[in-house]
Amino acid sequence: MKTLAATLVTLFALGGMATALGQGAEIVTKPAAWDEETVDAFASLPVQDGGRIKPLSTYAGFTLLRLNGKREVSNLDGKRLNPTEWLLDTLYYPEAASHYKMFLVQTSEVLDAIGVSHEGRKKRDRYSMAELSPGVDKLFQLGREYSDESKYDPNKLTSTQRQIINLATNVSQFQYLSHYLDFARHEFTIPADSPLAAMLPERRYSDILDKAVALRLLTLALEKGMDAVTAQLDPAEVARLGELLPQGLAELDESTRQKNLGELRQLLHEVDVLSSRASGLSLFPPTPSMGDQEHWLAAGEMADLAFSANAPVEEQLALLRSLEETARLIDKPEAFGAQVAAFHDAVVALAQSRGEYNKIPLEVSYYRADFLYWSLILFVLAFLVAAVSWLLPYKRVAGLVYPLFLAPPTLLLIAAITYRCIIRGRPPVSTLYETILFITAVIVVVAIVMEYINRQKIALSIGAFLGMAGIFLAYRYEAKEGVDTMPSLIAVLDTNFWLATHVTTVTMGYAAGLLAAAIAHVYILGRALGFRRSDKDFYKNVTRMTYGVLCFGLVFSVVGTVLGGIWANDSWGRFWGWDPKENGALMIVLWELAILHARMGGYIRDLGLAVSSVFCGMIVAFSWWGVNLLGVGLHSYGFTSGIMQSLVVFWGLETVVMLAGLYVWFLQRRPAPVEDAVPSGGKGRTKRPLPAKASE
Amino acid sequence: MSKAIRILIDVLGSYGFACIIFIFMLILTFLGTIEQTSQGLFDVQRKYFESLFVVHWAFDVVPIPLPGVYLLLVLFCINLLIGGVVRMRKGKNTFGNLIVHLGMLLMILGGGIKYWFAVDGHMTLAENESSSEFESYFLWEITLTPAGGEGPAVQYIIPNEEFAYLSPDNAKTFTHPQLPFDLSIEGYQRNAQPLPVGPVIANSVRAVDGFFLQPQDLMKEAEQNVAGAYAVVRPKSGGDAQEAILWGFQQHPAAFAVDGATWLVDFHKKRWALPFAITLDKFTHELHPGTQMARMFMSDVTKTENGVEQAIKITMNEPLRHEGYTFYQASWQPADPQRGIPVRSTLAVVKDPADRIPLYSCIIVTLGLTVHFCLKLGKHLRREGKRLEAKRALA
Repeated sequence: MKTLAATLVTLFALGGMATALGQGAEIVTKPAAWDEETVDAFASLPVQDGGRIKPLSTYAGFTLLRLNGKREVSNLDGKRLNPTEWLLDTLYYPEAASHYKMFLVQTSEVLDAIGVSHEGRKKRDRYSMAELSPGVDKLFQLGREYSDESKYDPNKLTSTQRQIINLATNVSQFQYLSHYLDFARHEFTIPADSPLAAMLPERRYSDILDKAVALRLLTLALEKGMDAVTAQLDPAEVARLGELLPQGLAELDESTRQKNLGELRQLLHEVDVLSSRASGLSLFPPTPSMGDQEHWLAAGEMADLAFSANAPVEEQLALLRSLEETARLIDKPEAFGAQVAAFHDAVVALAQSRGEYNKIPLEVSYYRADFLYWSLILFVLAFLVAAVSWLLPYKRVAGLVYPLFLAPPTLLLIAAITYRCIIRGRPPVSTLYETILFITAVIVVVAIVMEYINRQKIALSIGAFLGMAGIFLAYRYEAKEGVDTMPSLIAVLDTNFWLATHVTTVTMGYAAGLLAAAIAHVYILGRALGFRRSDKDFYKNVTRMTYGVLCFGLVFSVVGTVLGGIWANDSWGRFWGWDPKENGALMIVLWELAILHARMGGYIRDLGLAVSSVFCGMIVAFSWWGVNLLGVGLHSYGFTSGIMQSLVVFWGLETVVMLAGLYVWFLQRRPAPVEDAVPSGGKGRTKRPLPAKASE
Repeated sequence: MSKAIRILIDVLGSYGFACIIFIFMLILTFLGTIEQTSQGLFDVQRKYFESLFVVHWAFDVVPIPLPGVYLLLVLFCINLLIGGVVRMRKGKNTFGNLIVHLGMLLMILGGGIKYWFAVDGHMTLAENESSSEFESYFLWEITLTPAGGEGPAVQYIIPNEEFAYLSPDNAKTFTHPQLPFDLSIEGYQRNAQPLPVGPVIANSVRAVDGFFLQPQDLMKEAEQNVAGAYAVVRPKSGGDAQEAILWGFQQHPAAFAVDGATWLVDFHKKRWALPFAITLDKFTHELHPGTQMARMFMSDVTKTENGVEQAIKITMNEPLRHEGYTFYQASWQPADPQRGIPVRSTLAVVKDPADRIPLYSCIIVTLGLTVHFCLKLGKHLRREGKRLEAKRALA
């Protein structure tokens, strides 16, 4: 929040960038379609963001996702742009991009608050920068206000206030991107009679930075005289002064000196403003002369480097010129493409020399392949096959074929997880997002194994359904958060051993708890709706599956929880600290132990096991998601927000299922009038109620 | 054995009793988790997890009496011992369960040892600073030391548990045959701040040397509370009583002149001496480039024991273990140039006799669960195989 406030203050200080962006501005140039090579070159350009080096396409993808709620946007011709194309438009054609409807506003109350009209629009709709422009000043003012923790408790903000903060952040981010290349487009004007004119025959931003040392000395000379300059330099540098500074500075009369000083200050102010605007993308790797610096530079940071550092900046400026040139060649497609390729190659070569490019092509191909999308499609197909299979008899061949439909989406999901492991150099789970993928994969793999053992089509159907639901959840979560799902890890998580052991096992425990709950649904809903009423074997099988999966879950939950304790003992000095995340895992263990002991003690039978398992699913949901909403504890890296409503809906639905279980229990206890098949004393048949035989 | 005892043992060792314990523990864990949003962990832990009984106020209106987790764990041990070890049917099918139960008992035993015997605190050092003691996060102590004199002086210590339970309205007097005075601790506050007495409130507060103790709201993080109290010294020889304010952040101890001697009364966090010294040579704090996200904390320290020096690195997930003490890289404090305070590294220090028991019990439990699960799975697979065979035969 504080970062946001600082960002907004900085942005505001830049001086009406928002309003200048075109409230009703004419669209000067419509971008042409980008050629494939240009898009590829930009997509695989490395950029440092969030503490790691990633492809520009990844950066663009998550930025667009955060702004627009999806990874695409339509341009003015209605053509759908992918994230890299959108970023290219934003960088090179900011006026046009400001008319793309890319800001998803969740509720029109936000627009009311900032005074933007939404007449004739849906309550939840997308708006362009140009449409939001009249309210941008108000938006930033409110965004700053609501982000001020001394005035507003972040946990008590209303939904609208949160959305205002989000929208302000998104608008700010777009503005930083759309103004990034202002430095390359800017024309510096210098009067012909100014000494600056002789010093700066070329007047691009990079030329000015190239003369930074001379300009610094010139400022000093004009402000305090030549003696002040020579006092700062050693004799060898004094001898070079003639090459750096214009002649005759010492003889200037006062009015000329003031005039020249004014022109110089204006020039430097323009450099300052452009540098501030060009701070959104860290595209420039440190050159070898910068030693072991890890921080990549944004174009705007070059000015600081040039004006303040003693280190040579020629290599950095060469890169800057290369990017600058692309903006100047935008109207010449062929030359532009060649220049983009040259810039790409130079940056990539530098990144490679630092060992920071190896995983970039892999990450580009990961997002391009879109494994999860295809996996989702195939899970839907598998679910349809499973649904149809219920209408057909379970022949031996068919029984072998049905589970095969689950294989392709599962393999795609596993491929996605494997890709991520390789890209990150980490075990499968290190973020909340990755828990979704991993849990889904575990559920589906266990379901496939169960189907081969059991051949009842139950596990097949549940596996397909949960696979589908899991990937859908991953999509929803990714869109809600709108941040890189492969982030840098905080210090305490920087341990592959514990990530591979504790996190993986405890997550497998979650998966098993959810799968058991899902199978239990079949029992309860089947019995409540009278499905296969007379097929006792079917329900016995369902019970056995539930029980087996619970046992499987208990193994992993117990081991995972204890491993977490051992990790905590190594990291924080205590085995158990009653932290909410630890407690959530313990609750799963306790409930599973209670179920299994109650089952062994004969306190619950089939129906009891099913209802308890559904409740186990609710506890897993609390442990997996609920505790992250509390915002307390040492597991702060897993905190999230904005999912309470979904959780409550889930718990509500599960409660209904448990009530259905209660209904089944009442049905079982009700004495059912049946016809006695036994003749009574040869005088015909009599009806008498039999006590219901409790099958559970 | 009488019938009543037999019934009691039956109940204590039953599945049903185990279930009741699990369910109560589940409820308490849930309540203790939710309550952490409004109360700090320290208080929640005492209320729910370290108590014999607890009263939970549902919606702040309805009191619900519940057993505390401490009591439940004792009962669970009894249940486990009777039902899960002694009376459990021993055989191939229950072999895994037996191992699990023994592992669980070991784990709870480890927890008990830690709870009863472990001490924990922290050592906060700037670079080139040394220390051979560490102090508690939560516990306070009062020390009484005669000032001046030659040679080692006897120090009298009043531990936290002797006064921390006092309410502001209560007082407690401490005496010792060797002390020439009695010390009363009055108006104890868990979190307070001494403030100068202004003219408006001069008659409504208890002022000592122009200051009074202003009670403060309790902090959610209990270690941030700064306790305070009024100390009243009454000479046994019958002189006038003397008062002073004791406050956790005071820079100097309070001084009392009694029978011609000066006594210093200090109020500070409880401290434990170490059999060796730790010197912080260098503290490294790295952020992920371009972010404020911590990538690595590391303290380069030198351990000095009996004149022998050893250089050691302590980082997240890689603590220093020595002579039963463990040092963890816990946190750090940024420099405050205006107050001349340099960057400091905080090492959590724990002396836990049961330090490795959780690891051993985890191995045992994992082994037991794996054995049991594999046995059950094998049985299930054989049964399913037979069922499918029978089904095919019928078809």
